[in-house]
Amino acid sequence: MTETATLFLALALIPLPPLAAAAVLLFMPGRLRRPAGAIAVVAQALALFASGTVLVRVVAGGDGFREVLNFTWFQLGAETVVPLGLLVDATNAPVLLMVSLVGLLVFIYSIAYMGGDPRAVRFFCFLSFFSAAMLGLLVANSLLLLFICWELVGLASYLLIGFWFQKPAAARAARKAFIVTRIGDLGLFLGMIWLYREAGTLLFYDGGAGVLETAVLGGLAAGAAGGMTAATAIALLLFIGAAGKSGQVPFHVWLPDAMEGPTPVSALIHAATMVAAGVFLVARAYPLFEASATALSVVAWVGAATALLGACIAVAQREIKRILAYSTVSQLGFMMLSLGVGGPVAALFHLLAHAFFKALLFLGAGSVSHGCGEEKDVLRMGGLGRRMPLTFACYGIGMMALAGFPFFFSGFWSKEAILHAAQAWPVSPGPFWIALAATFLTAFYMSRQMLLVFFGRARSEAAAQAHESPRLMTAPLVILAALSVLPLVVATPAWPWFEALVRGGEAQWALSRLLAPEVWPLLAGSILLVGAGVGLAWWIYHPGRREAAGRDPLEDRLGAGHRVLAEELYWDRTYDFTVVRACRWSGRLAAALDRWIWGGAVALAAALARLFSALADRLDRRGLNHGFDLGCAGLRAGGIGLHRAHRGQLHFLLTTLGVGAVGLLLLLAWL
Amino acid sequence: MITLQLVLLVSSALFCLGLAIVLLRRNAIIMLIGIEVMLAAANLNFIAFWRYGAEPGSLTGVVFALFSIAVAAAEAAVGLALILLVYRHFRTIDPGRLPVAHD
Amino acid sequence: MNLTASGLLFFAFAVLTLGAGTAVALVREPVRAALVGALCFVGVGLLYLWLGAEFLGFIQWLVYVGAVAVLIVFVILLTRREDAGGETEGGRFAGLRVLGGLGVALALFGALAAAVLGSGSLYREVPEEPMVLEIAALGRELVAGAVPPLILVGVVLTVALVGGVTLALVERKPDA
Repeated sequence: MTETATLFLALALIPLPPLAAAAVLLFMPGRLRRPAGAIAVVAQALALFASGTVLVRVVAGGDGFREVLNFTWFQLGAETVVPLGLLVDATNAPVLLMVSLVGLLVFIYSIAYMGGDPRAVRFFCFLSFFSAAMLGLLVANSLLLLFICWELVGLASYLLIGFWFQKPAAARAARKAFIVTRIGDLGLFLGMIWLYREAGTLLFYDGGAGVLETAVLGGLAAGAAGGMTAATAIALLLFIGAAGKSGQVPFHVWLPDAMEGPTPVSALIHAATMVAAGVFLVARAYPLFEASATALSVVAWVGAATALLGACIAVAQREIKRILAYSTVSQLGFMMLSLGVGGPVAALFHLLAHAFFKALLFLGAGSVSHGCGEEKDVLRMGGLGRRMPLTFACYGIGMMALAGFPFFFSGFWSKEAILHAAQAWPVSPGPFWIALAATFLTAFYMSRQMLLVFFGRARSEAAAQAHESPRLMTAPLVILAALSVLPLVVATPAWPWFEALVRGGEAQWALSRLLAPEVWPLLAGSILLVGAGVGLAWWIYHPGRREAAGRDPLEDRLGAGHRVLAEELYWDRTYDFTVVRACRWSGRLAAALDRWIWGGAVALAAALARLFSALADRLDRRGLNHGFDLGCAGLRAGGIGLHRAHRGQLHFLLTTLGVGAVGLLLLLAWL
Repeated sequence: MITLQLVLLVSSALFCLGLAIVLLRRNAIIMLIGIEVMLAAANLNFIAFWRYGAEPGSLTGVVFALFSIAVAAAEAAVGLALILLVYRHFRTIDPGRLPVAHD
Repeated sequence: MNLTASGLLFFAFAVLTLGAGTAVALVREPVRAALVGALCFVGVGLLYLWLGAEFLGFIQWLVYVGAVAVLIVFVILLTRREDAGGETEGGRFAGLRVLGGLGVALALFGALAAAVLGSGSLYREVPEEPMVLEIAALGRELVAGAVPPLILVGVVLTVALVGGVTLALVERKPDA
């Protein structure tokens, strides 16, 4: 077998094992919980192995390595061919490895976390299905295939958020996530159709004819429609889809609610992988976005707004997973910001680094709640550092990576790269300053969470009784903690190996670059900001303080502002008052039309017939002739018949069906 | 001579006969026969298009009709079993008299 | 219109088929209706033969006349009962229903006929040379081009068989 064939075999083998596992688990009896977990883990391990092979090949391939394998999905008529394709390059290979690795760790963790759930088999089935769809999304070389997988991960997310559908909150959150992301997907869908109309293909790379290649992009950038180029319009529509999936303002409302799902789901789907799909989409279609400065500006500003809003709201949340959810929103904003200001490599690296430490934080949060009796309110925890030392250590590493503690954490360097890109953006300095503010807030709210959960004294009975989680749960934490530290070596300014991998070129090791005049002031500045955030948190929440249990000292200092933040800027309520209400009223209007106008017409006909028959009856009783009697009986029968017809008689339904068929045919013939 | 139109007219008439059987009769078994008649009419179309088609070497129409017959047989078997079951439960095979037919 | 023998044959088959179909709609006794139904299927098979699809005609006879019609007669005999026998005649709206059904069927036929007659591209004479459906070619087509559907149909038939048996299985209740 040639090298390329082996590569594509490996590539195809990435999404297939989880898919097969999902199919097997679908038919597995519910009591076989342990074998189900084992099957899912083994399949995921196979995917991880295949991803590793692919990444090794990509790294060995060197500059601008890119292999595509296109094949025909189906053919319509003589010339309309619908192709799909697989693609591997330096953009998706590291993400593939990350998704399968985080997936594997989360699967292992789930064996312990979900082991007692009666529907654990179903859980692993959904999880494997998600993993397959996500990996398929990453290897797609066609916007169509990407869109299919995109919808499948949305479905998996819906199923998993609502996994405990007995809880009304979970069912509601699942619906909300599904509907909100669907609005975004509509944008993606329209963008896809438009792109197909303009380019005639949806393949990303196709030997010069793909939509991301110069021939097509040139055409897209030239044609104008309604004041903007086609490239701008398409890129913006695609970005709507990406914003919906990645929880960007104003679509972010679903993400915090999605935390109603089981914790492994939050870690895998709503922190590490699926929500990053939007960022990945923009990174994948980056040549298209580059063809339009407007689209890139929109991406940058939306990203900046999301980064800041998410961080602000996270400051005032009380639920441990909700804080992390808003932090995810904020970090996704960072990634989008980076893409918008022209730093796709930094965005991609932040995506990878963030996936590891955010999965770590979520799994850690799960371990914390698991340890102290499903408590979720950080104000009712405290002092857990002594009782759960391993979780504490891992969580600490994750927190420092997220907050951007200097030098030894991947999060520091990825954030540094984003800030650097934002600073260099020629269009506006705004996003750069917003990003700095968000950096400060991130350090603050993570320190706040850390201090409230692990330091001080226990503020509730459950927290005082806390215990360390089982080995199967802590082992993934330790591995993820290691992964939150290790990747830093490939993306520091001193040795930009990752950038060289994605962009092409050779990475040179030079420690002196850290002290270059365009690097060190920013480094020092952001270290100072992080220090200030941590210091402020320590000043407000230091372990020795005294306050009533269950009260946030920040509340007294911020006053009314705190309330606004705690209520998440009233975003949900605004939607309730505008969008949701409008939908509900139009629904009511339609129902009323249906009931009163159409239904009324039928009822009126029946009533008229009855009225006539009643009238006739009375006339008849007064002594009119017999013939009239017969007529009135017919009328009455008609009335009752109409009435009965509306109760769903089979034959009536069939006749109606026939009438419909005739009508359709006539319509067709007429047209 | 016989044109394609004529064959199609016959098959449309057969289809409408099947529909009439389904709509007029109140015996589930006879209604099933009606459905089979409609299917046979559709198959007749396949064969007619194959016969009069531009490409006589292509057997798609025949293959399609073959599959259609197979599926129709399966459908008849299951349908009759269902009718039997319904009869055993409700002692009638008049769809109009089944309690489930109402809302 | 000059009718050849072949054309006459077509008309004969068509009349047989349609007549038997009409009879199904009219004959009251279910067993007789089933028997004329079988006759209608025989007619359809004859039409297949006339069109040159001999293999399919035989299949049609085997499946419909040999299997389905017999099955139908069996089920009719199994569900025959004095009180529920035959059809519930009439009810109070029988006239309305018959009228509606007939109307819909006639209207559909009118629409279909208009569509068929309206498309001029369908005015095509039957090719002169007799067309023979080679069974070997059909078999090759089946195993070369339509393997997944073939397997699927096998699965469908098996499932239908098992399902039919399961549904029709008499559960022996203690008191029955």
